[in-house]
Amino acid sequence: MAQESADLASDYQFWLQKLSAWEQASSKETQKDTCLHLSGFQEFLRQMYEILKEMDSDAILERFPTIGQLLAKACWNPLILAYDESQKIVIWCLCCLVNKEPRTSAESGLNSWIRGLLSHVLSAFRFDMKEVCLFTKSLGYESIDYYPSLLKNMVLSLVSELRESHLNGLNTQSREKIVLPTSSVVSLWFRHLPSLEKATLHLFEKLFSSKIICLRRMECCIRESFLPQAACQPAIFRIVDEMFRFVLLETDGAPEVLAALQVFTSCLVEALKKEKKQLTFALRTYFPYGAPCLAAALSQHPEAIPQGHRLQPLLHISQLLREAVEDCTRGCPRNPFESWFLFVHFGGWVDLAVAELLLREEAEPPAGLLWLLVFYYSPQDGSQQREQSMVELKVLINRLLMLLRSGSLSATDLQEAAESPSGDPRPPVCGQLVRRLLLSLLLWTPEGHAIVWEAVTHMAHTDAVIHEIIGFLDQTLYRSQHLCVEASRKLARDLLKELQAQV
Amino acid sequence: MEPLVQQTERFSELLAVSCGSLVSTWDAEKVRRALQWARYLLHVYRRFAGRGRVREALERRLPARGGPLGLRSFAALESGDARLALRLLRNRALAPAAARALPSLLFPGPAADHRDDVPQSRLVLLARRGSALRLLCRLGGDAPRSALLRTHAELLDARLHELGGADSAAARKLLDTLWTRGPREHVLDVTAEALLLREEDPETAQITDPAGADETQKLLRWLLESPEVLAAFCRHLPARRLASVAGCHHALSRAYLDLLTTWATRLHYDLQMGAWVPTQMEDMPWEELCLRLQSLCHAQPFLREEVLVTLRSRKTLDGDFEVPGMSIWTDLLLALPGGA
Repeated sequence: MAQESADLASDYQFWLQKLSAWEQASSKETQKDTCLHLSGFQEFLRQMYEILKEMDSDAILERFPTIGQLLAKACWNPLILAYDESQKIVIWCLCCLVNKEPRTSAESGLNSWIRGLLSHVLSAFRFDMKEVCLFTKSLGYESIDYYPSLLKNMVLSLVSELRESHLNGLNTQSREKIVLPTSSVVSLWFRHLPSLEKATLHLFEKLFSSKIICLRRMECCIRESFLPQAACQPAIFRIVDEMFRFVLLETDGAPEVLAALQVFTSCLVEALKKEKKQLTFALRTYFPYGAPCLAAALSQHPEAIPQGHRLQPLLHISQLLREAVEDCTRGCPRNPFESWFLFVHFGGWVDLAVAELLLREEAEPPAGLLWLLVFYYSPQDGSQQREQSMVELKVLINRLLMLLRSGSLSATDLQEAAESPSGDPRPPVCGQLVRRLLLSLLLWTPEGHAIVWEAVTHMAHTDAVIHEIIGFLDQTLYRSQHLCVEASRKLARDLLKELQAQV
Repeated sequence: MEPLVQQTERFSELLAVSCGSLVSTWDAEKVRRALQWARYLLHVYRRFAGRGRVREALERRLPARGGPLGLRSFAALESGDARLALRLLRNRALAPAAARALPSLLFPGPAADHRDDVPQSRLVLLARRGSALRLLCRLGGDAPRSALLRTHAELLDARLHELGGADSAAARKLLDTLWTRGPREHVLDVTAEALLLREEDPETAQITDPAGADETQKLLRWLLESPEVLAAFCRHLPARRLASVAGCHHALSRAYLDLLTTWATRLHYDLQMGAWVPTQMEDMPWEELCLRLQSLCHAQPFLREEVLVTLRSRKTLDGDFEVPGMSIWTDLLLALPGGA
């Protein structure tokens, strides 16, 4: 008890000194210092209130003779008054100080003084111009009438000024510009939804303005926007994610949108790692759609898995997805889009799956991997169609591997193998998937390197396909460092340059 | 119904006197009862907020008894207790016994934190908002002034709305009072802002507030029927802003143009200086006249048409001179896009 008393006494002195220092200087440093101490001071105020409420005015003044000074300084500090609940606790403390039975004029004077302070706290904002106050009075309004509206308009004006200066970058006008640190911008987004939406839309405009996908450029734009850091807050992430989802649906899964989503997610994961000490939100808060175990499995880092151990996690993910999508025993059928949307956030797994399929030693491609790839590229298929596609894919892969081992791989052979998997008149499994497999084979195997130029020329018969191949090459260079040897990367770079020159 | 109306009226009177010297006779018990009364009426408000008939009846009777300091509207019942609290707190005339009971009545402490029918949480919110405003104003820039202007425009709009549908006499009286009390420049700025209030987002304005044009009409009518105000309005506001407002309200654009042409006739051509100069000090100079006409032309196509047609007809009446320095209309047309 005595120790607590001594602690409080020294705290009291500490805070009194702090408050005095803060009121004398109003420089940026002082303000920063004040802000750092705001929550600590509020805690102290709470403790004081607990003690003061049990005492009467005389006892308080005896124990804390300078309490009036302390509370007054707090009242005249606008940062303290604006913070959280500090103003409320200061008010409570002041009420404790009121002398219920004043006998001297000093005691009455104290009561008067307290009322003045309370009045001040309740009208912390006064217009600079008294005449303007007059106008409000003539209209018949008081602070209680116009504070909400004025605050709203003030925030709106500041937000539009901020938006202008944020978007314009270089401010050519000479008027005073508001520059906020990242954390403040993020706080603003957290509290004002329209500005978050505008910022995201602005990012989308930058990302999707050119048909050519360059992941490195996308990453730059995304990082500059501060949205990944902000999205460490689940509420903010959910909004941005919704917007991605919307654009994805509207564009029917356009490849640039998919790519942007994947880059965004990886930036987010990186930002989360940096903020790890503060944030402990469960994955479910970021991805409430889709099963929690699925989110957990997907969010592991594919590149961290050593070679030779990659099949197991892939099959695990495939199984979880399959259960989510095809499980009809749970009652209501789930929307496969939700699971697919969750899956496509994390692009690295598809790279891994393709690598596993092509570079395996065993004869039989695992069904789980086939399912995964077919689902990624054609999520809307019914289960029968998907089964069929898996069969065709298996046939194709077997053919490719056979050609690879035959020792004499030619571009024409490759093309033939891809075009007519089974002589069936129905269209083969998704063209994008086939091309991806072919290109991967060409880039990752020495046999492929020999015939790559010819084979790509065969494949690249339309502009759309060329763009697609460019996208794939860019993505390989950007993402698959752990899968490619240097020779492959050099080849990819050369191919990319050549193709970009063609469009 | 009648008891309810009476109680509201009496509370309105109470509120009105809470600013004055009568409170020197109040004791702690009276303050407590007054706050209880306010709480009761808050519940009344919540109960009847959606019920048109009761609300209308109360609104009809209110402004009469309480006067300017009493309850202004039914909606004011929602914050009657906070209003009363603030007035009593600031009133130095309040008897000492009542004054020292007041703080703990208003701020009972943590126990009252979750109650929504006592003033504590709302007063604390007021304090928070006030401090937030103070901090935001410090950031400087254009925001505080434009926010204030907009808020005042919204308040003016709200007050005009409260004064009832067809009764423009009350509206005119209010506006005249504002003009008299001033500050005049601010009144003009707020008027311009209010006239633009609905124009910024016409789509939503149509959906949410189809009858809102009433307030704008009252304001416009007052402006057009008060020559002194209109003249000051058209001189004080910057050219571009005035052109935007004129672009939204045709009657105003006509009146503005008439004024500009009247002011133009005050200029005479000084042969020595080779320019159009004012006859008296307070006349609008040539440069400003040109600027204003140019702004009108740039604002809206129909305004440009009006300006050109007006000037051309004046030019014809004047003798249709083509040589500069003979007729001001000729020279003005030369200075405008598409005029020559």
